[in-house]
Amino acid sequence: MYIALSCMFVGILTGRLARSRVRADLSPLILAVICLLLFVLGLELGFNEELVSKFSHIGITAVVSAVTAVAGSCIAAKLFYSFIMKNES
Amino acid sequence: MRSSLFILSAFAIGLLLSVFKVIPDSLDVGLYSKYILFLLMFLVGMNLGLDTKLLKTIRSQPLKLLLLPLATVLGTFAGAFAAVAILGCIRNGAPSVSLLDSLAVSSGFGYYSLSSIFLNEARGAEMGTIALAANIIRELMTIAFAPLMVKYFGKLAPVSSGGATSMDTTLPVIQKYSGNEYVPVSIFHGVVMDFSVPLFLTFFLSLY
Repeated sequence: MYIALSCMFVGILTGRLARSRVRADLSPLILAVICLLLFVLGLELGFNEELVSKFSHIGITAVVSAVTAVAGSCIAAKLFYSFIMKNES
Repeated sequence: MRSSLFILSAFAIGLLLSVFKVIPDSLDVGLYSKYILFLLMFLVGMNLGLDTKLLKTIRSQPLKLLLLPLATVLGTFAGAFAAVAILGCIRNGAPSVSLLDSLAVSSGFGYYSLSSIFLNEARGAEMGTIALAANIIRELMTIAFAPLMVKYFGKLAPVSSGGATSMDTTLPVIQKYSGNEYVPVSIFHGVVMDFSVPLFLTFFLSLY
């Protein structure tokens, strides 16, 4: 995890040094690499035979747990944001 | 929204290729995903470095944003309560999940490797697999639906939803849809959530 953060700091320095010369929009490239990462994550899960064979049994439990966690976090984040903004102004 | 489609398709293609053994299992995919993540983090950093107004926008952020992990924990646990209620209603041969199980699964906050190991040891292989799948789906949903989350729940929503992953795998989509100025809070949030995973898991598992 710290290697990943170090990579980011190297990136910040590179971007900072290249700022005057490069005017590139990196977002299409980033999206492509995100897709590549998800492709590899898909591969990784597919190779996990235990997970694949059990998914029909446990899938619904996992999906409900994930959806409620995501929904709960999103609602909490929205409430938190409006709370901060009210106090700021 | 089009990017969500690309991302989900990439995942689905990978999944199908490996499930149907089109790609041999001999590949060390774990290693590849690590290097791809490093490349992604480098690009996120470069995007930050290229932004000339970055420091100014970061300084204008309210300091209270650092309390976001608290909201994430409360929201996630509220979700865990809802999950038990919903699963109690549908129950069609799926394994029964107690409130404590549900809280333990959600304590992964997207950190699937750690939470599945904990639950595997304490509650058996089935709960371990549920924790693995649930937390992977959380990460996947955050990456795929970040633009919708920002639209309907504000710019902090994908950070919260990303949980412990908001400092690495979900950081690029947070940067893209919430903006560069949310990268610092996202990293801080990810680090705090990361450390809280073993704490909450140990706590909930000690209650059995």
